[in-house]
Amino acid sequence: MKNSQLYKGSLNTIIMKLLEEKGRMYGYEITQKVKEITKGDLHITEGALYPALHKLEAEGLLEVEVERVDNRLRKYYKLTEKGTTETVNRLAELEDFIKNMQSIVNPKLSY
Amino acid sequence: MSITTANIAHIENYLKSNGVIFDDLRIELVDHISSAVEFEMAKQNLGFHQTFSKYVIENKSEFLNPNEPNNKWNFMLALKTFFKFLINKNVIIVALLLFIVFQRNYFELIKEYSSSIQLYAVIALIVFSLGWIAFFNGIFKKRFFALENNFNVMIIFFGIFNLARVLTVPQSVLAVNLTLIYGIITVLFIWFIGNTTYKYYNKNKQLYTA
Repeated sequence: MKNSQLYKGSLNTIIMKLLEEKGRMYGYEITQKVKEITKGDLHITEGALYPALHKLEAEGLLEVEVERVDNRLRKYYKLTEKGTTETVNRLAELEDFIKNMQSIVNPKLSY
Repeated sequence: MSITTANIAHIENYLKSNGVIFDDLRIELVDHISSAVEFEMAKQNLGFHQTFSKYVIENKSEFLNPNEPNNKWNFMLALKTFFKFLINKNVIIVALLLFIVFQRNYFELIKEYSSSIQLYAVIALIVFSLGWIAFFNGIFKKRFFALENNFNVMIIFFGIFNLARVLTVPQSVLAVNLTLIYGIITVLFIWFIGNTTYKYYNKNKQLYTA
């Protein structure tokens, strides 16, 4: 993950947004999807991803399905009902943040 | 391109020997590394061991961090989970009933046998803890971060509570009530750990049987 507090602070929202779109995903799939969307610019490491997923799970925002795939176990994450509601709130908050930052950093573009 | 069962075992053993001791965390890393290695093997047309070694060199510092960083957060979360359990309607009713019944009918008895009750509570906790550890380490031979985190926090919580109880004047009303509360919390603690372990088992049956 890029060494920036801005990215780190948005990791949970990024995960939740992806899960909202895809329904359910496993860890490696999330990292690859982010890499693909950002054209390789944003790389989420294992050290950042899994603690974030576990935290969201412990908060009741995600739930887990374990399946055996290709001779190994795979944990799929999906949003809970509470998680779906929270995703809407967090995305709205993030959009608001981006809009405000845009107004400060580049006022011309914000009109 | 799928890697073989022997390759998966190789990854698992590598992680185990490098200190990833918890099964719930290791299972995810095994799948993550296996997926990454498979992708690179297909892309670069390389063998498993060559690709795996390359992956380890490039990413070791990321996946070999000590089992779950941010211990402060994990501690707070486990404590929050326990307090959430304590404010559950059924738990409150049971705790209140126990307190009222014992306070009204056995106050003098508790006062007289205060030190024995405290000793029994400690023995009950030790027996439960040893049983719990033997169950996961001896029978299942699997350790789960999610469960041990709760368990460790509760032990610390009891240590602090015990200290508060010891600091009160012996034989005082407060000391007797604290002894009673201590006994009730011991029951609730065993209930909490049993309940969370059972729920975790139901949600992650495949992790136990893998």
